[in-house]
Amino acid sequence: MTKSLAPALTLVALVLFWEAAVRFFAIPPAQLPAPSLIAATLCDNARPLLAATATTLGVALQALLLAAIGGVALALIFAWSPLLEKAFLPLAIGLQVTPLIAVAPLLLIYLNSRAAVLACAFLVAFFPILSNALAGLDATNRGLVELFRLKGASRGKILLLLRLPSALPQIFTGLRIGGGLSLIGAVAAELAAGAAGSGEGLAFRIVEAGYRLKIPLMFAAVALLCFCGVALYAVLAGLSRLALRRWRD
Amino acid sequence: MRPLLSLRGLRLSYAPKAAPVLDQLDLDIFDGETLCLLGQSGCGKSTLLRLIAGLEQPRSGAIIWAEGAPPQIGFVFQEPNLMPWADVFANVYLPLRLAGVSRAKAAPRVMQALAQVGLPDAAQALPRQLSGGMKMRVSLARAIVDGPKLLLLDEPFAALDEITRWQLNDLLLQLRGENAATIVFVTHSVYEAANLASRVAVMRARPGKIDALLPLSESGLARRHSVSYADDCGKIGEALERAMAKS
Repeated sequence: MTKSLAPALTLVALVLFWEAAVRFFAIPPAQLPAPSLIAATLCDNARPLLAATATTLGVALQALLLAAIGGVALALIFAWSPLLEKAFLPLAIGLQVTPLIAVAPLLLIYLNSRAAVLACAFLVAFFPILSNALAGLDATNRGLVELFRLKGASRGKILLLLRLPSALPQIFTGLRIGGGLSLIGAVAAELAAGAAGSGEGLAFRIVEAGYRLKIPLMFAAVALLCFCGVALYAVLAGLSRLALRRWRD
Repeated sequence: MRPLLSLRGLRLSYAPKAAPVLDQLDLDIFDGETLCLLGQSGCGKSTLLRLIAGLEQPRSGAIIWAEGAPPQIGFVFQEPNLMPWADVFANVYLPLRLAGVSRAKAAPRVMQALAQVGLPDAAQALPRQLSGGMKMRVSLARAIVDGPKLLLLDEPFAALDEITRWQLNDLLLQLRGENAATIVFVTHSVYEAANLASRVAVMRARPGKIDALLPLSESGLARRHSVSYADDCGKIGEALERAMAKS
C-alpha cells in the first residue's frame, strides 16, 4: 500500500510546493504558471486539447503497433537467417542512429504530414523492439535448443515453439521502451511538420500557444503529453506483467 | 551382451589445427548396461556424450549403431533446462509433441512418466514453483516419456545437495529397472559411479580417451549399502588417480 502510494504522494507534494512557490514569490503566469492555473486552462480548452491528444496518441499507437509487428517479424527473419541479419542489420542501425529531427524534414518532402509523422514515430519505436527481440531470440537456453535438435525439431519449430516464447520478456522490454519513443517520435515529427502540417496534434498546439505567448496553455499541453506517456507505459507494463506472469516468482 | 553402439577411433577438435578434445577413442556400450563415464574436469566426458547424442560431429572415427541407426535417445543435461513459461505437463510432453503425438494421446504417457519420477500431482505446477530436485525429476520424466532405448545423462545431479542426489540416484536405478534402457551417465564423483554403474569407463585428459574399464561386482538398488561398495569406490578411485597422472 505504502509502495503504491509513494509516487502519488511525491507528485502531490511537488505540485503543492510548485503552487506555494508561485504564490509566495508572486511569479507572473507568463514566466511560470501555477498548477491551479494550468488545470483551469486545461478545463477551459478541454475540447481542442483532447482532440489534439487523440491525434498524437493515435499516431503514436499506430506507429507502435506497426513497429511491434515489424520489429518482431524482422527479428524472427534475422534469427531464421543469420545471413539476412548480417546484410540488413547495419541498415537498421543506420536508421536508428540518424537523428530523427534530421530525417523528419526529408520525410515531409516525400509524404503528407500525417504519414510523415507516423513514419517518424515508427522509425524511433522500431529499433528498440527489433534489437530487444533479437537479443531475446539469441539468448534462448542452449540446452533446450539442443533438446529440440535431438528430437529432430526443424528450425521453424525451434523458432516458433522455443525461441519466440523464450524471447517474450525481452520483446516486452522493447515494447515498453518503444511505446515511450513512439510518442516522442510523433511529437518531434509534429514539431518539424508544425508550420506546414495539418496542425492537429498536441505538438502543434504547444507551438501555437508559444507563438501567442499562452504559457499556461503550453504547460497544459505538455502535462497532457506527460500523462499520455505515463499511461502508455503503464498499459504496456500491465500487458507485460500479464503475459509474463508464468515467469515471475 | 551385444554392443548397442561401438565408438571407433573417435577424434574431435574444435578447429582443424587445435589440440583434440578426444583422440583415438574406442568404446563399446552394451545393451542394458549402466555405463558411468568418470574423469577430471575437461577430460571430454560431456563431449563424448554429445557425440553419442549426435549434438557434435567427430573429425574422424565412427559411431557404429547395432541397428544401423541411432535408437530413440533421452538426454538429461547438467541443468534441468525446463521451459519457464510451460507447466510441468507441457515440459514433459515436449518430446512427444515434437514427434507429432497429440496432447490427448500423450496424456497417459506423460502422467505415467511423472508418476515414475514421484511427481504424480505436479502436472499443473510451473517450473519456478519447484525445488532443484523436483526440476531434475521433471527433466528425468521428459527424458523417459518417449521410451528411449538409450538414456544419456550429463552430470545431472552435480548441483544438488547430497540427500537429494542419493534420492535421485535411487530413482534412476529404479527407472533403469522399469524401462530397461541403456544408460550412459557422466559424473566426476567416484561415489556416484560406484553407486550407479554396472561398468565404469575412466577417462584421461588432453586428449580425452578411455584409460580404464572397470566392470563392477553387483548391480541393483541402493548399491551404496552393499558390502562391495567401499571396495568398488577404492578401485575406481585408484583408476582415476592413474588416469590423472597420465593426463
